[in-house]
Order: sequence, then C-alpha cells, then structure tokens
Amino acid sequence: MNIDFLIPLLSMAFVLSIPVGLAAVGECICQRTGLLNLGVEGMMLMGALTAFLGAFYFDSSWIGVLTGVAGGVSLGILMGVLCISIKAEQVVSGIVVVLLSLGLTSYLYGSLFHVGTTPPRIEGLALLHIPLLSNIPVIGPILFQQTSLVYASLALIVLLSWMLERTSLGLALQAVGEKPEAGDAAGLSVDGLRWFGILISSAMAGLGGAVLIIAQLHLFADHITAGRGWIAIALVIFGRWKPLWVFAGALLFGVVDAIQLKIQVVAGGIDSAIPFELFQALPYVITMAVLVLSAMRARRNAQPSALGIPFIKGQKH
Amino acid sequence: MRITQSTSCSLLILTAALSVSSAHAAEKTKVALVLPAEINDLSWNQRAYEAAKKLSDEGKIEFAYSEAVKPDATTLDPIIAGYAQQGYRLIVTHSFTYGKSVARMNGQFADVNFAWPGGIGKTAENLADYDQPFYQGYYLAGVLAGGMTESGVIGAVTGFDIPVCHASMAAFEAGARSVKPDVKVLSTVTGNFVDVAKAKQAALALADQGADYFMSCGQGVTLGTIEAAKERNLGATSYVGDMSSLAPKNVFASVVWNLDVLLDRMVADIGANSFRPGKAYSFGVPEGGISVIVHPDFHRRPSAETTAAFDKALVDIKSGTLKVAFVPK
Repeated sequence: MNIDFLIPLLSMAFVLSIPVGLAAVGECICQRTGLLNLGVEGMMLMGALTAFLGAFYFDSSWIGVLTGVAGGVSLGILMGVLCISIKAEQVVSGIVVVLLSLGLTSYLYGSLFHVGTTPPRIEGLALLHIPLLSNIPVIGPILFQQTSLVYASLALIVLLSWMLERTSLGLALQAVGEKPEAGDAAGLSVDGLRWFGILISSAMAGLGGAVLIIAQLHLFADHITAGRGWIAIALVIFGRWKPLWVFAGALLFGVVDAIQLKIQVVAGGIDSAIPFELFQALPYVITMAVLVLSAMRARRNAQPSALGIPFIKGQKH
Repeated sequence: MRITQSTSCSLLILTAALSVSSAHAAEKTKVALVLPAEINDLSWNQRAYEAAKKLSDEGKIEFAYSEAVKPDATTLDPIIAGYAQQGYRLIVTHSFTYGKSVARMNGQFADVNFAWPGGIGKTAENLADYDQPFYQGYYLAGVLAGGMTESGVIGAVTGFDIPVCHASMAAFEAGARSVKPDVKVLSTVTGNFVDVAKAKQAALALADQGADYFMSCGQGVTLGTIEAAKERNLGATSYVGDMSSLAPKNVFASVVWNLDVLLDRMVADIGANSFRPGKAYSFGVPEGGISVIVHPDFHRRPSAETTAAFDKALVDIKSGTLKVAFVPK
C-alpha cells in the first residue's frame, strides 16, 4: 500500500465524514442541554430534500444550503414544540419526526417531479484549491482541495465547539443539561436554552443533508441519507459529548468505511474467500472497540445528568 | 385511480358496496399493482407503473396501484384483500418480499388471479410467477463495455450479492470477455440498495483501481455509480429503467425491463381463460421482456467491430443460438 493509494481514499473519507460530522456536532450541543434529539435522521433527510429543491429552483448552490438548513430547522421547531413546550416524551417525539420526514420527503419529491419526466439534477459546487496549502504533499490534496462548503462546515464545527466549551453561553447550555433546577434557580431560562440546542441541532442536521446533496450527490432519491442521522447519534456517545471528539469519531468512521470498500476490491470482491459482510462490519467493529476502550479509560460518566428528562418548572425529578 | 396506504382503511369499509357494482361495470380487465417503493424511482417500480399505464392507455386494462407498501402482514394483507374484494381480476404483487402475504391471500381469494416476481417457479392454480432475466441484457451491455474499455478493467457495484445481481454481474463479465478475453472485473458489495453516497464512493474506489466501465445492481447503487462515472468521465450502465438522462455522456447502455410485454401476455391469458393453472412466465431478451438501449450521446462511439459484436450477440440470443449462462452464485 503506497501513498498514492491513500490520498484518494483519505480525501474521499474526509468528504463523506462531513455530513454525518455536522449532524453529530449539532446533536452533541443539543444533548448537552439535556434534550435528546432522536429526530436527526429525519432532519437530515428533510434538509437534503429542501437543499435539493432550493438549488434546483433557484439554480444556486448557496441558496440550496440555506433552504437545507431551513428544512432541518422546520422539523427542529416541531421537535421543540413537542419536547420543550408541551413536555412530550423525547424518544417518542424523535421517532415521530423521523417517520414523518421519511413519508413527507418521499411524498413531496414524488409530487413535484412526476413519473416519466427527466430526473432532475443540480450542478453542485466546484472544488476550491487553496493556494500554497493545496500543494503540500499528501495533506494538500486531502484537506485543501475541497468545496468551499466543506471549509465552511469545518469552521462552523470549530466555532460551535469553542462556543460550547469556552463561552458563558456554552456554560449555561451545559448547566441546564446537568442540573436544570439549579440553572433555573440561578435565573437561566431552561426552556430557552433547550430551544437554542434543538435549533442548532436541527440546523446542523439540515446542513449535513445539504452538504450530502450539494457537495457530493447532486440528486435526490428516497431516504438518501440512509441512516447517517442514527450514526450521528451514536457518534455523540462515542465522542463522550465533546464536539471535537465527536467530529473526530465521524472522521474515523468515514476512514474505516472508505478503507473497507478498498479492501473488498483488493481481496477479490465477491469471489473473495473472505465474506464481504466481514468488511462491511468493519466500521462498526472499530467504532465499538474505540467506544469500549474510551469508556474503560474515562474517569466519570460524561452523559449529561438531565438528558432525556423534560424540565417542568417547580417540579422535582 | 391512486390508492395509498393511508386510504386503505377507508377503502376496506367501502369494499362491500363496491365489489357488487364493479364486477359487472367494465369489460376491461381490472389490474391492481402493489409496489414496494415509489412509482418515480426510474427503475423497478416505475417500469411496472409505466407498463400498466401503457396498457391502460391502449384501452386493454383498468388499473389501480398502491406504492411504497411494506411487506409486513398488517400493511400488505388488507391492501391485497381490498383489491380482491373490489373485483380486481389480476393483482400484481411486485416484490419478492411479498411472497408470504401472497401465499396467504391467493388461497383466500380463489377467484382472483395473482402474479408474484419470485423468479423461483413457485406457482399455484391462481398464482403465476414472473422472473427478471436482467442477466441476458447485462451480457449485451458487457459486450459493449468489453469493446470500449481502454484500461481492460471493469467495475461492478452491487447492493447485495443476491442471485439477480450475481447473475447480472457474471453475464456482464462473460459478455465483455467475449470481445476482450483478458478483461478484469473488480467488484464491491455495498450492503445497501438505497445508499447512493456509499455506492458512489465504492465506484470511485474501483475507478482508482483502473476501472473505466461500470455495471451495477440496485436502484440507489446505480444512481451512485452514474454520479461517479460523471465525475471521472467514465461509463456506467443503468439498471432496470433508462437513467441516462442523469448523465447522458456517461451512461453507455441501459438494461431495460419491459413489463408491458409481460403484463400484456398475462392479461391476454386471463381473457382467454388460459392464465390458470398459474405459469412461470419468463420474459427475457428473446421474448422482448428485457432490452438494451445503446445511448448515442455517450462520450465515446463504439468501434464498428464492437457494434457488430453487439448486433451479432443480440441476434444470437434472440434466435436461441446463444444461451447466456445464468450464474446465480
């Protein structure tokens, strides 16, 4: 295995990690406020559809990005109303959002683009070569020859991580996830901060869906996110509720997934003596192994104490 | 008439009233399609819908359909029962996964005819089986790819290594080898029929290994390989339906399933009272059930030899002198 073999592989893995990484970092922030958003898959899928529609009808990738975010947020508002305003069960609400999105996206796409018509396709964004940096051997082609949307996504992830870990707003978000009663007594608006969390999470999931469509696939098909939202939720636990670790998990998952596709080919594909299912299981096996190791090494439980519990003012939990 | 899952409950309530009147209402055969996914998928389901639409436009049938129907008994059984009670004479249950429900329902509604795409010859008095010999088309597409490949490496991306996919891949390879004996085939299984991004990644990985022509099995899988072919300016094959409009310069051939020919025969058999006992319908290239579209806008023109080899293989398969081997695993 030489370096020429690795460059396209890592570059591909990097691009494919971005959608799931964005959704996972958003989910991480939401969970830190104590709200378990299980609707990520639905929000990503809605974001993918609305991004596609925006880019298609307005003939602009950037409008597509905005409509993608808006699509995610529209389901985020629904999730917020269910879980924060009327204190509904969070797990059930999340699953409802996913099921709604699966049906609604399929219905909307089907009714807008009728059978027999030419399947629509958008142009997407061109790759942007950053001067000087893109010429660095190995790292250059992997990190610095991507679409501008990928750079913007990375900047956003770093910004959100900084916001959560280093600002007073971040501290307040964490406080309502750990001890909402204490936060409330200290004058914080628990509901307000959780609304902030769900809006960030749904916007990031919508953005993830938009990146999938606009930077990679340029078309829409039913359930095109194919379970990436669920992987995002798993990555939050994997990254122990730290945004940058969560994103690192997304990168690791992407790399192992890209590698398994390569190994399959090298091993002889379908005619290989080793069943291809073993290669397919590889990303999940590695993720589980790292999860177990990190849990063994951790000194304390990193899960926000109030995760999944609705906050009702004045009521003891 | 369009019947969705959500309306199937209210439909059941109406069935008693409807079944009395509709039995004598029309002379056209009433055909119902039950489909596993949406009718705009450019592939498996769209081809079935278009076939019924065509026969309906020709005045041969009257049809209704239910799309995106899950194969579980609580969803599927009431839908099939609804059509049966409404006087539909042929119910096409267009998914292998519907097998168990169909086996329950065809006993319950002995006067209704059923068709199921098992491809395993499982028939009953009122139940016909129809297969999907896509592999015969993939042989022909393989002849083209073998003639046009510059690297001599062909990439195959399949969703699962199931018989229909494996046989298509093997036939594609055999077709390519018939014109270029040293062609190498690299294959990847994505483990998923809907993940377009993963299929694209798999195809790009194959391209990195030198593949310049692709075959693929699965609707989402094929959307991914077409995207990869477009990105690297290579050649892809579309699956079951014509997907060339996605990338006219990069889809060299489409293996197309002409369900209208099959459905037309079934309806004719019902009209002639020869549908029963249920047959195993096999409509491949010789019967016109499978055809291959060679796309003129593809970025390369096949050489005269390649075109001649393709035409010869087509004639030979149609006349029966060439039997494409079915290699299910």
